[in-house]
Amino acid sequence: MKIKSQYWLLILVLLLLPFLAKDNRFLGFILGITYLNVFWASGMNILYGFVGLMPLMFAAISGIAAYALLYFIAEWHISFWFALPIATLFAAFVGVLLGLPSLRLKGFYFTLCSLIIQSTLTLAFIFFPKFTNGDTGINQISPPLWMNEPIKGYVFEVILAILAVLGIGFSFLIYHSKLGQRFIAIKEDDVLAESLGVNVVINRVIAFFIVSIYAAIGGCFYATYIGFISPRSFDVLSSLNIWLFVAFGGKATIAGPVIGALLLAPLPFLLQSLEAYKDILSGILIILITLLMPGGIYGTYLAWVNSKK
Amino acid sequence: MLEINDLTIRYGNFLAVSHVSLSIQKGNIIALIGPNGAGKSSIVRAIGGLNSFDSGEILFLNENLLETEPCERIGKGLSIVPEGRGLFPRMSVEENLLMGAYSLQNKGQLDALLNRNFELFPILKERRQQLAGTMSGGQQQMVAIAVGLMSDPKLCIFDEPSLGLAPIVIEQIGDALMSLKKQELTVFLVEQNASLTTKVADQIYVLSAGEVKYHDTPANLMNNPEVLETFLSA
Amino acid sequence: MNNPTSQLLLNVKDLTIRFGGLYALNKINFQMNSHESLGMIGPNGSGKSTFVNVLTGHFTPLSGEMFFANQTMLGQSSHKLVEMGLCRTYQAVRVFGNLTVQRNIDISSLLLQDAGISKDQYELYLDWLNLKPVLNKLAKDITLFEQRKLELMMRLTLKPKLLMLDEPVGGLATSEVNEMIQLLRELKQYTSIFVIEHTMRVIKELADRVVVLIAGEKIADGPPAEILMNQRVINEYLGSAHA
Repeated sequence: MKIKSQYWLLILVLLLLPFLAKDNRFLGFILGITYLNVFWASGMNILYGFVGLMPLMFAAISGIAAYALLYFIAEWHISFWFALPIATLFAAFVGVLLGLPSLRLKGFYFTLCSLIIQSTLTLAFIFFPKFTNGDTGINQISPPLWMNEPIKGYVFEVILAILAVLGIGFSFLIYHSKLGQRFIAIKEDDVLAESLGVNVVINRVIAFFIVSIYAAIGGCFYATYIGFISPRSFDVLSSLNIWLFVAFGGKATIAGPVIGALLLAPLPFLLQSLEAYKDILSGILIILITLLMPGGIYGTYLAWVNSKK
Repeated sequence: MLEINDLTIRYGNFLAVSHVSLSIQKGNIIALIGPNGAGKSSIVRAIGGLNSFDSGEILFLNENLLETEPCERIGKGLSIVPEGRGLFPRMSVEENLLMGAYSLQNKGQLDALLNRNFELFPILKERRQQLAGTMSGGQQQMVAIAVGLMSDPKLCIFDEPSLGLAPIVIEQIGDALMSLKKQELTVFLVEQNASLTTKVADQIYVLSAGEVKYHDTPANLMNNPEVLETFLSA
Repeated sequence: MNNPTSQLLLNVKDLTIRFGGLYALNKINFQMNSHESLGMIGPNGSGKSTFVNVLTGHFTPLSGEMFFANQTMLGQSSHKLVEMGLCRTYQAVRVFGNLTVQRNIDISSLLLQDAGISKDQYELYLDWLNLKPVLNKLAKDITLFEQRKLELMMRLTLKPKLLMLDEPVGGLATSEVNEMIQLLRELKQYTSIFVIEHTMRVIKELADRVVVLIAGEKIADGPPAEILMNQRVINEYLGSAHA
């Protein structure tokens, strides 16, 4: 399992960038958001790229974790760091429970089911203001404390960078593990995989659980980094947004989602004047990728390299 | 009826078909046999217009086929029953058959053609309303053959019709082909497993690695021990 | 198999399954011992593939019992049956087309991992099936015959006690059929085989016993010579050519 030197370089760059953006809070913020999205994209790739299922309820699980985190912190008076694992596991279990019926489905039917669950949860976020403060959202979320000091500024970005790197690393480990091999077999031909002894249903559940963990952890950091959440933060467009990073960058590869997130996540902020066209541009990109580059940027690049051999 | 002259097909650097010539006369059953990768499917696809070819020409009824769009070839009387059946699984047997007659100029012939098929394959009449996708592999093959015949073709090309069929069904198809020959249908039979061809074909072309290695009557080929061993024993 | 201690491998009693109003299988009874090689023949649509599908956990039977090496098979999922030692191949060849031949084999080896075949056995199979030259090719780019051999290799890494082969020579050219028959004959040293086929030569040369299925019912069960002379088999399946 050799990790190529260019990957180490990339990791180094990712970890160093926050220091460069130390004094420019605008760039720092973009960096932070991008890191979160790199983390999320790496996670979503495990279900979409490796196992072949389209997880539209990804954002909803992030939302469950975020709201649960704030609830635990407020009600039980525990620190962010204690609430994080609890909220994460809670959201992941709820996610698996809700997703269980759909895990025997595949393709279009799984996507449809996932969409329904996502939409239902978004509505739940809006119509249970007792926990979520409804559409108004929850603001002035305080950042996590480290040694009794709130984490702010570029330090938070460094933490997010570490999170992103850990997320990439973990998905790398899965990809090269026996579990990853099973995932890919299921994606390629689940009936054949089953006839070779792979427990397809359980493996799908495992993949779903892992991806939910990513969604959940990301959701918790998102809430404390941005300082404000609302049901709109975790709606189906958010799921699709992350999916776009994965698909655009190159699903089923490790670098793909990273590239996709690095290229696309900053755009809404850098091109604020084009805000109105944001959704149109996203739509165009989705169509372009599906028609012209199903392997994404990195996937197409790899195919081109292989054909030269 | 169909003339292939000096046909060559390349896929990139790979020479799939090399200077193949064959001729199918009206009212005959001509067979093309050979192993996987010998180039048989490439030739069938070239006739259907789904493959381009590098050199040579294909003439149907003395017209150069390149001048006819693939979708129009069936209108000219050229029908292909593809390998792997190619049915609409969610349509019934009857609906699939009617789809085969889509290009018929004279819709009045429809009933006559349906009946011809039901006579050749009685089980299709029995199961005419059954969804094609729910039938067994061999039954689907029978439907596919019937669909190919629904356009009332002058020449019908069968690409591996005996695949997956019970011996008695292969016999039925053989009988059907002989019966169709009496009705002046010209048949081009492409097969890997030669058992059907040796029984019904007037002439057999043996293709191997893109080239025609033998061309003779079944009787003569069966007397050639080398051909018998390598290509014909089943 | 030259195994002196032959065990009862498959024990099927009154197996019945219905699709809609049709009995796809109607009270099928049969047994198979580990030293035997079984063949199954029958007209198209007679229930042969359904039989394999029920036995390998794809369909739940309506009634009846089935045992594999004295363990019940009812309610077991396909992958659990593979763990028990029952493997199958499909009528239309089925491999992971977009993955290399090597990856295909690696994936099959995942189930047993350390309990799987030894490195020597692995090399032996690879040489015997002559798959070494194509290890790095994508499975969709190799010939049909090579794909069929790959299917065998993948099943062998699972140390099957019984391998059910659904039309293993389907689509193969005559010379390849000869080779495959030889391979299947040699396969018997590694596992028991159950072969569904339409090519009578395969049945004649490989099967000790043949089970005949017609319209979902078992109508005959005996050595090939006997079956091939059975009048009903001739009328409904073989046709006069084979009489």
